Amino acid sequence: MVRYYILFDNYEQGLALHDLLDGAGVSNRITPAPAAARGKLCCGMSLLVEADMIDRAREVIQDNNAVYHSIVPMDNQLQAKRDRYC
Amino acid sequence: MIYLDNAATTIHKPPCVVRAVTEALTSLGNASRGAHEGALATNRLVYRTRRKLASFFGCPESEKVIFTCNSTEALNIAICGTLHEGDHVITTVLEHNSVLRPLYRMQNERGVSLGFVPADKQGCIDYADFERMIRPQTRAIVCTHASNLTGNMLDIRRIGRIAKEHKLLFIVDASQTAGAVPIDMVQMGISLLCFTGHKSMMGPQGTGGLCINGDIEIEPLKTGGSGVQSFLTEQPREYPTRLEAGTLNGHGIAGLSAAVDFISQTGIDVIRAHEQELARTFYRLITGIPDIHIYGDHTSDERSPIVALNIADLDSAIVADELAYSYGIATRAGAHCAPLMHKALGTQEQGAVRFSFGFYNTIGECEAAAEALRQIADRRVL
Repeated sequence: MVRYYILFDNYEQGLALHDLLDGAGVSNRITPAPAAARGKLCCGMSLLVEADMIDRAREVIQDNNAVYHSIVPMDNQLQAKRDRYC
Repeated sequence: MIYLDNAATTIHKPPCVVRAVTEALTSLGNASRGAHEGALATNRLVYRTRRKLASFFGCPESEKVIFTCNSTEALNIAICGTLHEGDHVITTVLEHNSVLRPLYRMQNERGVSLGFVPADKQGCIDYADFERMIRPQTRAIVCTHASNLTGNMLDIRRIGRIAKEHKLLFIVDASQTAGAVPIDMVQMGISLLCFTGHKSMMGPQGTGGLCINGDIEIEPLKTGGSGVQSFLTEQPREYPTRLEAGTLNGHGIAGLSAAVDFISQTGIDVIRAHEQELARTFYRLITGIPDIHIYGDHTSDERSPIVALNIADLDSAIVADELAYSYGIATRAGAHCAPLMHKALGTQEQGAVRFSFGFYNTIGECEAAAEALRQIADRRVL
């Protein structure tokens, strides 16, 4: 399952977009930026947006001229949490 | 939340620290600015805290305890204030960017040349490398007391002997050890000790200091108001005024003072023993997890209470996120501002997940964190 990580140059940019997405009702959450996605120049935080929300997130970015570094799709490396004794 | 990011900052402070800062916020004036009761209350606090810290770190002269806002500021003063054109400095690959970036800056601006003591795959160094790297132009050794990534501690006394024998300045970054490991500048041969107040000292953020052992000329990083000698066009030359332009963080220093009292009354050995037990317990519980890779030398007791690891090729940020999101466990993923250490360990692409323990953590929290890691390892997409 693909998820999208929005990356930033610094935390201020990330927190600003987080507020904008929350305000527009686009579900997202703050998460550490995956090392594989961020490269050497991005900051340590990212916004994780599920695939069904990424188009709306892009609209919010465009409507508000929000600043970000890049949007990176990544396969989820973990299976959903389950009762391991089932 | 189970907080296991104490190497970044301690989130749980002793109640006496909270009380001290709260009281200070409604009572302190500006130190060295006037002789009224508010200003004098801060003067007395600053004076007593200097003496307390000098005793705590074995700094021979309390007026050479300089208050800073953190280790980074202290390191910048120590490094930029003592190095000159053409100097050579020996440091290590264990260092945090708070050491590396001021050194790189001196390399670019003053032509200072740098030598890096390498580390092996466990993050261990060969002490003989310090002696091998000494040249006629060598002015200083700058190194950390303990790696903020692996937790490996350096034998500061041993390096101090080398520095003394070759008449070198010995600048130590005690960010990870001050408050958790006994430090005596004279016995360890430390020229300049840089510490922060908000980690193992358990004081407020925005506090820290530079302790100077002996007659060392340090040029100030900043100049400005001192409350004394106001008609001088230059910063006064006397310590501590020389290096303390501007209003001190009196409210923070009140908390730092209470934190030193707390550590002294509790016993630094008691604090260290508890933190070591936490790290050892966690290490023991996770060693059997399939495909876990733990970094650092865990055969020695000379360690900071840090366990850094990866699970197979899982991105360290994904693991840290899962720990936080699904289990409420706070750790630190990524590069930890220690680029050369990650290169030495071969983790510059994957990063690492760092668990760092503090005085207020419990064995039960170690067990919960180990179980969470075990479950995450079990959920890898193969």
